[in-house]
Amino acid sequence: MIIALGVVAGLAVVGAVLVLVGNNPVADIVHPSARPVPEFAFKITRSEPIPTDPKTKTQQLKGSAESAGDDAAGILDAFYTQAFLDPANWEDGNYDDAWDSFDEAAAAAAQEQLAGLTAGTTAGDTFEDIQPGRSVLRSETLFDADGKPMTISATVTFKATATKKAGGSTIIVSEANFFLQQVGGEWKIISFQVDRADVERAPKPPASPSGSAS
Amino acid sequence: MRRRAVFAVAAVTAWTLGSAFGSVGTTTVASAQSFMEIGLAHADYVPKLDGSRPIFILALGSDSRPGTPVDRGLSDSIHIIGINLAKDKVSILGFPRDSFVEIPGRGTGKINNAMAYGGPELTIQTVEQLTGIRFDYYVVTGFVGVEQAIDDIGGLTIDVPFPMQDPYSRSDFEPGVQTLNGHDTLAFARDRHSLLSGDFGRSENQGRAMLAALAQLRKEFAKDPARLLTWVGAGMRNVQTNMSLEEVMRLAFTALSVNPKHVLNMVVPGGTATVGGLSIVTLDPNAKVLYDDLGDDAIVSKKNIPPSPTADQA
Repeated sequence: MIIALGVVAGLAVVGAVLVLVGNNPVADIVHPSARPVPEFAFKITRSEPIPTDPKTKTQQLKGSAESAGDDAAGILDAFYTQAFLDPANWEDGNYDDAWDSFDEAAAAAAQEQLAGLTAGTTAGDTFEDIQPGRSVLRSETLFDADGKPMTISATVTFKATATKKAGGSTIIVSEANFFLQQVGGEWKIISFQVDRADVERAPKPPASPSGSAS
Repeated sequence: MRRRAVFAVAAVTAWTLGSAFGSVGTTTVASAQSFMEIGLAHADYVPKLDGSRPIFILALGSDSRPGTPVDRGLSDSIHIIGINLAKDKVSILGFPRDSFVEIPGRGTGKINNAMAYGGPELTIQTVEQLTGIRFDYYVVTGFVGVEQAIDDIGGLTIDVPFPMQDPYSRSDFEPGVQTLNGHDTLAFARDRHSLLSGDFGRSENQGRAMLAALAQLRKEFAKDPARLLTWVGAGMRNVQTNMSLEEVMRLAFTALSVNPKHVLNMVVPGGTATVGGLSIVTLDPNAKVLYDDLGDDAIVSKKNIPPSPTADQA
């Protein structure tokens, strides 16, 4: 108990010193990663199976296709969180964690195309906050002759509002398709087609003086 | 790897504004704020096959009717598809079905008999022996398979090169670009009576259908990449092949990078003759130069490209 009190007191002293000696001590000691990561999940609008066995009815694979769609959504929830929403990433312009869900070749290609796939390397200079909007995902899953899911196509529309430090905001719009396959027992993104169509919204003009009450 | 990244600034359309604006849940009315621009960017990656060695596929169309195994009918459509992965170029070389050739273990006969005698394997041996080209894969389909596959992808848009009317195949087409259903695509591919060059022209038309499919796949993928799975599913449900589904997916991705303008559609030249009452095709002995050229890298040099059998008709 005494030790715990000592540690707390010590930390308080160190904190106070930092606050007193720095020009902007609070900003210096609060690391960007300390900011909360917004919760995000795609809304799944459709999960369709595509059989390759002529004797298999689509309906037989419906449940497996929904499960595969859920798997894809989980992976893309994580990717979009890393690429757009996690302040620890966009404030530093570093998205190294985002490529865990890509296979090796796709990850290498993705890292050369950050402008289309992430909030960008200068997002930390531009934005003060990024919050997700309503985002949707539909999936089609190709099944092999044994009814095992082999390739998932996930087509998404991701939207988020990025509030600018200078005022105004950017509505981030990512229209994308990802193909996922099992690599080493895990679903990985093996192909992507991403189009960004971000909308710039100018700052709200100051309210005009209201007239006298009638 | 195909990759491009484009940045641009464009005027905001009312539609885009409406969808982007409304869906993020803001309540601001358009007049209260100004919407300046749209930032456009693109990123893509497609895992195409690469390698210095070309891939050769033997594509066979069977005349088998329902009840007969598709791989034991007469292969009335025979095409070599050579893919040069390094240069994203493809060559299609068709053989008239009546080509009189040596069939291993069966003596001399019409090339389309090989599949009825010994399945796709014997046809592969026959064509390999004839051309010296070694095949990586084969694909076989039949009448029902073609019809169903085309219907499953929603039809095939094809430029019919000349008028075609034939009660046997039920073709009835005016020239021009049109979208055919499965039945009509099959009629287009089967018709030889409307063609001045008969089976030679028919083989070229079958190549035209393959080219149309490639062009359509690329177009549909550009609009909605998920369509690739629709196409692969439709194909796999309606063909027999020694390719695994993984290999088919890889080839499908690879096909996306092949511009149809870089595909040669050729037919082995030859003439017609009669042997023992049989109407046959005698292949041009000089075609060996064509086979060697194709087998080298799946690209045929200009001097070895045979004339189009429908050049006089198109």
